[in-house]
Formats: sequence, C-alpha cells, structure tokens
Amino acid sequence: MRITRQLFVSRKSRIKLLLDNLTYKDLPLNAPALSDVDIVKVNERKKHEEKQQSLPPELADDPRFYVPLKHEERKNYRQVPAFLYNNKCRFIEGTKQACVLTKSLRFDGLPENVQQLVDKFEVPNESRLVQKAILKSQLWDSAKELLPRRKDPEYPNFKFNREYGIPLEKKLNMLSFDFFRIAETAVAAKYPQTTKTRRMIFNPSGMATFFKYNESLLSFYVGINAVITSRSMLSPFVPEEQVESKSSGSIPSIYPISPTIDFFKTHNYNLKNSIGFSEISSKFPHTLILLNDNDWSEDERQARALVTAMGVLLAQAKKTFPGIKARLPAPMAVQVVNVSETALNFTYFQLNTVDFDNTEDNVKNFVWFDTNNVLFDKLMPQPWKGDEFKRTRIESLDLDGFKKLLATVGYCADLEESLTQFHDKLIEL
Amino acid sequence: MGRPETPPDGKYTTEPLRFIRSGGRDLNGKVVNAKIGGGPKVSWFMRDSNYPEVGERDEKVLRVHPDPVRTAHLALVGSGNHKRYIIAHQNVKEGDVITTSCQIPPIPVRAVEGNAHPLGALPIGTIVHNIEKIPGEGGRICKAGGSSALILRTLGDKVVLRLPSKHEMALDPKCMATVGQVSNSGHDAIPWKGVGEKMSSGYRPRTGWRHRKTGYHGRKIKPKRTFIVKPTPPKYETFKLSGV
Repeated sequence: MRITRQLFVSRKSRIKLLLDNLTYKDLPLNAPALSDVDIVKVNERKKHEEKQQSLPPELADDPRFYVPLKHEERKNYRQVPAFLYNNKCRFIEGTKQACVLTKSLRFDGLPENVQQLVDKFEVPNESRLVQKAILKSQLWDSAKELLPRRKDPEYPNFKFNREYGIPLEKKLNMLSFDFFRIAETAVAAKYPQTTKTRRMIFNPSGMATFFKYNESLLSFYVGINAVITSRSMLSPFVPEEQVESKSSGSIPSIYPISPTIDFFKTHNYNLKNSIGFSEISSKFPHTLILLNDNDWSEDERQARALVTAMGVLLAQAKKTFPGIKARLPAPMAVQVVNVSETALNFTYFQLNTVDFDNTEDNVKNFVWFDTNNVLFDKLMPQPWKGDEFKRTRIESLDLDGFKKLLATVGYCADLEESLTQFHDKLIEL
Repeated sequence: MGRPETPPDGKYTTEPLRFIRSGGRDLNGKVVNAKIGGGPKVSWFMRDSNYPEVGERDEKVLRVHPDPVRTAHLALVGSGNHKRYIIAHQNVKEGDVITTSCQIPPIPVRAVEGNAHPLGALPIGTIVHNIEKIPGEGGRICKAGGSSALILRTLGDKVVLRLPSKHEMALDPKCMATVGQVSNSGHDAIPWKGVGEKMSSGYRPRTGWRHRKTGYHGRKIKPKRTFIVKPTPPKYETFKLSGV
C-alpha cells in the first residue's frame, strides 16, 4: 500500500494519543498515597473548543458571508404556528389519511344519482372522436422538447438515449379539454339552456381557507387547473333526511400518526378565506378538474382530490352560513375529475358537518371513489427484448371511463334547465 | 468516500440531499488516495441514531428501502407530526409499531424485535444493535449491515457486551439499545463480478501495466519496529529486615 501524507499524519496523532493514555501496570511497594490523585469519572465526552468567531466583513452586503434571516425577522410572523397545505403535499398513507382528516366515510363506485345517468347521453361516432383526442395528444402534436431520462424497473441498468417529444403537461391539457368539449356538447344537445348557465374557468386563482383541527391551525392554499361552474348549487347525493342513518359506519384510525404529518409547519403565514369566482352570475362549483403532472400513485392523487374538494366547500360554507361550527342546515356537494396520462379517476364529496375533531359523532361526511378507469394501454419501448418491442404501442381502447365522465358532467343539468325557464317566465311577466 | 451537503438550517429533514464525491482529493485539492474515483450519482439521507428522551413513545413504520451510501437499509418512521429515518432491523415490514422506553423495571422486559430499551432492562442473551456508549449521546456501536452484539452478563454496576470484533465491553445500564440484528446481513458475501463493476461503483485500480521498478517493489523483509515505548516505573531500593 502506498503511504500517503494522510496516513503519515494520522499515524503521528495516534502515537500521541497512545502516549497520553498510558497507565502503570505494576505499582511499586512504596507507592505514594492515592489521596492526592483525583479520580475522574467519564460521564460526558470532551467538547471541542469553540472556535473564535471571525470578524465581520468590511462590506455589509458581501454575499460570501450571507446569514439567512431568523424567523422573527421575516414578514408575517405570528407566535402561534400553523400547518400549511398546497398542491405538492404528498400524503404518505393515501386516502386513509385524507379520510381521517376530513372525517368522511368511504364508498366505492359511483353514487346512485350519477349511476342512473350512465348511457343516457348519446355521442355520435363516440369511439372515433375519443381515438382522435388520444392520438392528438400522444402522436400528432408537433412539440419537440427534451424529455426527462427514462428508467425501466425490469432492467434498471439499461441506459436509454435522450428523446425529444411532447411534455406531460401538454399531453394532459390536450386530452382533458378535448374530452370536456365533447361532453359539454352532448349535454347541451339534450338540455340547451345549460349553455347560458354554465361556465368553464381555467386556472382560477385565490382559493384559500383555514380551520382548527385538534388544537392546531391549518391553512389551505388550493390549486386547481379548471372548474365548471353553474348558476345553482349541486343537489346532494344523499338527501338530508337519510344523512344520519347512512353515517353509521366507523372511520379507521392511524394511531401513532396524525393526519397533519405531511403539512409544512411555519410561524410566518397569512390566513385567508375566499373563492376565486364569486363575482360572476354562475358562482357555484359543479366539477373540479385536476391534471396529474407528477409521478404519484393513483391513491395519492385521489387523496389530493378529496382535500381540494373539502377546501373549496369549506370556503363556500363560511360565506353562506357565517359563524357555523357544527352540522350544516343543508348539505353541499361537489365532483372532482382527476386526469392522468392513460386513465380517469372520479371523486364525489358531500359535506354535512364542519366539526372535524369528533370522530364518534352521529353525522359524518361522505366520499365516493372510482379510481383507475383505464382508457388505453401505452407500452413504452424495451429494445432488449427484440424487434417487436422497439417502438411505443397504443392498444386496446376502453370507453367505460368516458361514459362515466358524461354522467358526471350531465348531473343536475335537467334542474338547471327547468330553473332558467322559470326565471325567464318571471321576467316576461 | 465523500461528504454530503447539509442544509443551512442545521435541522433534520427527510428530503434527499446532494452527495459530493471526493475523488481521493484532500482539502488542498491534491490526490491523497489514488484508488478512489468515479461512481454513480447518489442522494444522501439524514439518518437519526439518537434516542428520544421521553418516557415512552410509539412509532409506525411507513417505508423501507435500501440506502445507496450505507450498507444497512433505511426505514421511514413517524409519530405525531414528526418523521425520521432510522436503521432498519432484519425482519421489518410496513405497518409495524415500534416502542421506545427509558424505564428500568426490576423484572427484565420481554424483548421484541425493533423496540428500544436501556441495557439494564433487557435479559441476558438478547441481541442488540445501535448501542450508546454514554447515556444520552446517541447510538454508536453496531450500525453496519448484518452486525449485532450480545449481552453476556452483569458485572456489579455494569453490563458486559460482546461486540462483533469479539471484544468485551462494560457499559452503563442506562445506555439505550434496540433489539435485533441490522438488516442486509449477507452484503459482504456477494463477490464482485469483475473489474467493470468495481470501476462503475467508484474504485480505481491499484497500478497500471508497466511501471519503473525501484527499491520499493518486491517482497518486503524488514525487522519489526519498536512502536510503543512504555515508560518504566522508578526503581526503589529494597531492604529485607530480619528481626533480631
């Protein structure tokens, strides 16, 4: 082995250490009295001597000696800490954690009112239009941007070449807005008055709420990609008389963990309660649209959908029923559609109470989950397998998810039509 | 073979941090060890080997995955509003619940894998890891993959352990330790596949093909050097007195 400078230096210090810690093994007969010697018991390690602090720099703005500000000196400092939530909070336990936070019972599938509307809206050339939308987003777009590196779990050491193509964000935008355009025309063909009452807003801003959960302040700043609004509130999935009888189940517990484990704790925050689209005539949210521009699992995406739905309804409830602390006089509902690259996810949320602390209560909120409605299979290239697997393949179309989307967009369309007719007749009189 | 980029706050985070490889270079920039160089880009996770100073605490295992920088696996563990990474023991799964307690009852505690107790509370014959040398300091011994220590006996005020190097050590019974063996036990039994695997993981070869031979090359036959010189105790004149 080559003796390097580092080893030579460490050898010297080791000799020094050994010489310092030597002890006598054989005591002489006429030893001196031990009462003069102090025995030191080892309870703590020696702490390194603190280095002298360097002198302050000559220039006050020198970036080499930058020291970040303390929390008390930054703006919006409050003594009571708060937990913040935003789009990038990833729930570690998924929908279980979100259900405990929102005190909601979980059901799988579509609610009954929406299940009845499947297959009631007709779209001519349905499969051709859906295939066109898919191929537009995946193949025919002319964008050429550097895509991130690919890794295949079947062969982790294989190095793919860098490719140029369509980024994920653009794919989701093209797919989702084509689908919603087809759905809205199908609904408008049957109920033509919905074109006056409904609106679609892109990137609404300013949605925020705050509330107390187990003696801690939570502050929500919710981000949504698009929203369909209407002039009247959504009718709830479960009417008010049956709420108590249906909320007889129990919510599972996540004992050593609290559901705010993934929130960000700060002392600098602002509290705000607002909905972004309250200054227009159609101000009640009908469906929220979220685009999954990330690599999360479907469970985590559905949890994000639940929490955004809860935040939007809370902000609305605080405005319509100011000063409320428990059960609402009238339940409120909203629908959420989650769009990922090859599949659609749906959540339906109904808010009955605002008291989220008490888990053993007569009244609870309800949530319906319908995940992973796969529309088509996308198989990426795996060149180590052979010539057949060299190119990407798009196979096996499945239209079940699209029919559920038509049902969600067409929910409560007949009510709006009858209301507008009533409204127009009043004006005539 | 490198150093991590610690956060400027100094606080604990669970986020992956940048790991800067040294390349065998010193602070001055010169090559100190020529057998290090290259290797993949990895991320470094802050691993917490301290024991909390409360009476009792429950924690839940959330994720388990291998560590690219260390030989032992990592386990993400959470309780309340705090998450941290700890050393994973051999048979760990997602969903387990781990307890730590600082109390020493008169009857020894039944040892369950994964729990942490002080050494005075555990019975003789238990296998432990992540042991403290001084109480309150943090785990120091047996943190590598597959290692473990055995509790042999009590010696008066102290507890005697057998370490993986077959030395015996006497420690304070208030020192904390976790029960079980560290994960990834067979990592040193897997041989290297060849030079390519070693080079791609950050090791460089010892020498090249042709080098000028000097007096340093060849078999070395030298006398052992006298390393430590113990100072001898002073000599006293001894007299034997006979009673007359």
